[in-house]
Amino acid sequence: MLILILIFFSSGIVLAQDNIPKVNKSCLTCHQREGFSTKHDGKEISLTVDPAVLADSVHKNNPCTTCHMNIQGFPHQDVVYGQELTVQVTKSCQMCHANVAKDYKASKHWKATKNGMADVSCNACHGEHDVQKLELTKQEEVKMCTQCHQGAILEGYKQSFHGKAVLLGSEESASCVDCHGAHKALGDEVAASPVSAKNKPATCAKCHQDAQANFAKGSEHLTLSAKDKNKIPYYISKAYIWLIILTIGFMLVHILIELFGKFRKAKKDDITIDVDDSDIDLN
Amino acid sequence: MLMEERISFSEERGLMFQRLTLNQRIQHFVNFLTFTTCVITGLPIKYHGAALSAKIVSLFGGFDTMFYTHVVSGILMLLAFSYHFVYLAAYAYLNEPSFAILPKWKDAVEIVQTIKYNLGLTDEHPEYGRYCYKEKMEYLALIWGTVVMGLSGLMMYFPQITVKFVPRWVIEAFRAAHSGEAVLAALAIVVWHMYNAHLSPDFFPMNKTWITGKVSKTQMEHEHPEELREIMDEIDYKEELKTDVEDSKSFKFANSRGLIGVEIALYAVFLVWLLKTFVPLGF
Repeated sequence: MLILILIFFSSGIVLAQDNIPKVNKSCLTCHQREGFSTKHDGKEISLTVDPAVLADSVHKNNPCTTCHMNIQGFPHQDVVYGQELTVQVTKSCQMCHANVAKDYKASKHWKATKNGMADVSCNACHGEHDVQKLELTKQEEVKMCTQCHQGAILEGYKQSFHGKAVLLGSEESASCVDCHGAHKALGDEVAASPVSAKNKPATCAKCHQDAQANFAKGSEHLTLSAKDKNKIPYYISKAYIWLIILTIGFMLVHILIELFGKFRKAKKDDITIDVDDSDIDLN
Repeated sequence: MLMEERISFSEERGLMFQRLTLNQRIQHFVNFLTFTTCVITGLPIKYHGAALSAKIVSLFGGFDTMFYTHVVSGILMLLAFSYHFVYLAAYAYLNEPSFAILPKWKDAVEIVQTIKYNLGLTDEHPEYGRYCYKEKMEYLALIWGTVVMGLSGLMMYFPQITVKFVPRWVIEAFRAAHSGEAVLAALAIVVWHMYNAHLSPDFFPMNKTWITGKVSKTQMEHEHPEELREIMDEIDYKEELKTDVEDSKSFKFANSRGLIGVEIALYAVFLVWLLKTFVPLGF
């Protein structure tokens, strides 16, 4: 049995070694050198790839040229950098990941990446040479999305019960992708979006069984403000602040007056004199 | 309960009067447990960014467990609350309805007179009845608070049902009330109840009536002189009662100027904290 196991494992190791594409070894001859870089548009661009990082990724068995498709010989022809490289690599993802790429290409993220407004490419979320299957906790996921999505959206989420729960570690409450989807982030103005007016009830119903149309009417990313369409929650919270100040303030003042009264009486009734904060009763 | 059963005798404390029945003490205890649990498990949700909140969450082993503890504890509190009204109805049916807890004009007069007395403007302390204004305020605040917290809590926990009757912003409005009332109630207990039951020099370190259910004649003379007079008028075997034994266990710190001084400092600091914390939030 032990021998069998040993044979199994050793063959596995051999297999793994064999599977590392030969072409990568050639690429790495130059690209694993530390400090390997070039200048483009006056900027220093590192060309170093850590073989250990690559070997640890889910793409460890892919030739470098699967993603860097245009690099077919040496010296490299038509090398692109920056945003152009991002778009080029993203296009090569769909060669294998066709279904997901279809969703992604419909998304706002692809539009922004393509137009050079931001880098929300596949690699931006999934990693580059260290690409892994994304198994994020809800907290890590919110952290990832909010690298870009800040301001009122983030503030509103933090104030919502969903946001508070997730930020405190909940595994059940809704994070960004639970409502918005991951690859098909369309924006609520697009009818096909899970957060469009039409699809919202169905999206809510994923967790909230038999959610009605009414249930989905209203903002999830809500910050209490007098400028909001619904001022009532805002004014209720303000009214409570003053109720707290007046009620608890009255209680504290009332207690202080009582204590002052007792302090005075304690002296009068008991004919005591103060020595080092302890009372000596002369009676 | 017959008057004879309400009166007992203790060598150390003299005549003792039953103030709280076992049933009432259990009701208080259930309320005490569920209220405390709700505060501990609820404040981290309101103040999700505070360092202490994360610690409380980890104490429960995660947000979701803490949240379900909050919901279960809230539902138990509502059950105890519902039971209280069954109890009141049964009391009214078996005895006769008592309206002693309701505020009367006498209470307004007594508040003013108590403050005057403590400020040294009069030498006459008001003669409180069965319930003084401090106790009435607390009882009525508890009724009001449980209605607000229970109603808003149920609306938030069953949003699908709530939106069948009202638009969603109403839930948001009640959520603001839940959040505000929570702080108001927690502070009221910490300030008002902790003073009246524990830190008041008359009872320091604790008024044990919530456990024993009994109050001594000496305490009655001090706290409920009018009620004591009514009880004494009602019984026809006064001669048999040893009314001259004074309570030697209570009022130990009533004249301790050291304790009173420390407490004045404590409540003054509390008042400054209250104003510094809440006034800026009020605008």
